This record gives sequence, structure tokens and C-alpha cells, in this order.
Amino acid sequence: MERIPNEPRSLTVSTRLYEVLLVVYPSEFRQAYGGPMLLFFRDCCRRALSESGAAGLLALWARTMLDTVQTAIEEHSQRGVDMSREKFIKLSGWALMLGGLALSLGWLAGTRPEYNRFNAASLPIDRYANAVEGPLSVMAMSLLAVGMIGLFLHYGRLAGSFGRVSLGLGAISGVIGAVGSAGLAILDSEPWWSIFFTGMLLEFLGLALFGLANLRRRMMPDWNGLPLLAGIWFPSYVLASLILEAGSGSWVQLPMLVDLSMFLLTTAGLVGLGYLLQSDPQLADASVPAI
Amino acid sequence: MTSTSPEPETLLPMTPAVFNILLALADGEKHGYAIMLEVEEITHGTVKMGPGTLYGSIKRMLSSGLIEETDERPDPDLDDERRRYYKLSGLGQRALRLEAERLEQQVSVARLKHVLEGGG
Repeated sequence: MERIPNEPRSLTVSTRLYEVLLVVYPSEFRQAYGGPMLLFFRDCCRRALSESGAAGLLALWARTMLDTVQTAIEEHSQRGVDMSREKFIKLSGWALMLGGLALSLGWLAGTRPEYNRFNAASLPIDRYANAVEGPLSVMAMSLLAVGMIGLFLHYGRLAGSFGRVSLGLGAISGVIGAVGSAGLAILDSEPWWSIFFTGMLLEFLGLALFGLANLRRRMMPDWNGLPLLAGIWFPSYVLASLILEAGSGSWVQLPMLVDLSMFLLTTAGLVGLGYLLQSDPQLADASVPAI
Repeated sequence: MTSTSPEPETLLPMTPAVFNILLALADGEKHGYAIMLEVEEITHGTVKMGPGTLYGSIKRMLSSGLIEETDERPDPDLDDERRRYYKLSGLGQRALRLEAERLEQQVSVARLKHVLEGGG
């Protein structure tokens, strides 16, 4: 900053010192606001000198040092939070894609007959399929839980209260479903199955309800029907099964083609949604920082 | 993509710095130092914002869409052309009104509870 003729030397020195002090801020912040901050500080110095002389300038420096330490820490920590948040959201997009694929693969593995080496109908593939069904299910549910948390972080503040609650329901239920699937893989018992099933049902229900909110608000750069496509099938499948059960008095196993269609459509929706989430060019802009 | 801005309710409650900056900009655009002078005046000198606090708040308020930087630059003969001027956005105006109403309601409760009576 140039020295203005007849400017007090203490003002020039203070301004130069503050210019050096600005180095404590993150470089992006400094580039964006360093110039205006320097002008601001020079104005404050001029006023302090004219009102209270050297004592006023010293008091201003004391306040400014405190302000600089506090806000430099804030800016550095804020930058870290923003970066990790953005990174997490991008990773959660990949989690949704992989989780969707693991879900379908887990279902395919689960449809294999129980492997029995004395049974001629058992195929060698069943041996491996039976072994990976549990781990695939845990992987799918864990990845989908991460994906739902990423969706919540990215779209939660823009989704309106209904969409936000739906995403929150989906994210919390996703974690419950993941815990249930892990428990089921370790201890194959009814309580764990209920936790897993309820978590998964509410997770997809939350996603479907968010999908409805998204159709109205259109928060995504493209393909705004994807959350509904990914979320609607599993709750619909359960509802159809319950209606059939109420009619017949016993649980009705739906045809395998219906199962297959449901899982493939769900996976297609999840993969598309995950792709959109990890590649969303608006990622940094859409997340509203706390003020 | 349809542009979506956050609901003003989601930006409440505001920090005192953000509320005071919005209040300072309520009657027109200002540069940083003018904002600080206005904040000092409306708070009777109890709030003194340093450059880091002011521009840190401005950065976050620009990101959240509460304020906008104006294209206008001062005449180089009259003022430093590096100064930046800021103004309230539509979202900022709505959020400021909502926050003022929220604070008014709290003061009403304080009145009902006779908090403001007596010198304590």
C-alpha cells in the first residue's frame, strides 16, 4: 500500500505491519479480502490517531491482534470443515453406487439354494454365493447408510422441512439397518432380522419421501426423479406383500421376477443418484455454510 | 438446474455480528469501514468489529446469499477504488425481518415477565 503524502509515520508503519500480519489467514481468504481489510485497518488507524493519538492507536492494535488470532483460527478451521464435508459428500456418492450394486449382488447370492455337496442339484457357485451373502448384505447396508448421510448433508438445508425430515429418517434408519445387518451376519436370529428389515424399510421410505420433495423443488442438476426411483420399490414391495398376506392369511412369496425387477430398479436408481451426488458441480455452492 | 436459495428461516438465529451487519446495510449499500461505523453507532459503541470479524462474516454472508457485492466502484479521485461495496439481497432482507421479529418476540416475553422493570 502506497504512503500518502503528509500521512503520520505511525499510520504508515501500522498499515505495513498489518499487511504482514495478514499472512496468518488462509491464502484464498487473503486474496479475496486482504486488500479491503488493509483499507479498513488504515481507516481505523486514522480515526484512532485523530481521536486519541498514540494511546488510541495502541488500543486499536490490541483489539486487532485479538481479532486476528480469533478469526485466523476460525478461517483455517472453517476451510478444513468445508473441505472434509465436500470430500465426504463426494465419497458418499460412490458409497451409494457401490451400495446399490452390493444390494443386488447380495440378493442374487441369497437366491441361490443352500449349498450341499451331497446334493446333485447344488452348483459349485452356490458354495461361494452362500458364503458372500452375509458380507455383501452388511457392505450394502453400511455403504447405503453413508450415502444417505451424504444426501442429508448435501440436500438437507435445501430440501424444505418435509424433505429434510425424510432424509433424516432415511439416514438414521440406514445406520440402524447397517447395524441390524451386521448383527444378523454374526447372530442369525429374529431380533437382528427385525432390526435389519425395519431399518432397510424406513431407509428406502425416507429416500422415496425425499424423492417426492425433490420432484417439487428440483434440487439436482438433472434426473430429479432418481431419488424416488431408488426409494419407491422396496416399500412398495413390502406393502404389496402385506396386502397379499392380509388377503390370504399367510405370507405370500412374490415371483422371483418381481424380486429381480425391484432390486434392479432400486440399484439403477441408487447408482444414478450416487453418480449425480459425487459429480454435482454445485457441490460447493449448494452447501450453505453456517453464519 | 433451477437455482435454489435456502429458506430464510434456516439462517436463524443469527450471530450478533451478522445481524448488525445486515442492519447496517438495511438503508443502503456500504463498504466495510462504513458498515463498522454504522454498527458502532447502532450498538452505542458496545460492538467494535475488527477487520477479521467483519470480513469473515461478510465472506459467509456472501456464500449464504444474505448480501451481494455491488458492481459500483468509487471515483478514484474521491476514494480508494479497491473498496468493495455490499448490499442486502432479497434473502437478506427477508432473513433480517424474520430475525428482528424473533428478537421482538423475545423482548415481548421479557416485558411480560417484568424483566425490564426496575434497575436491578
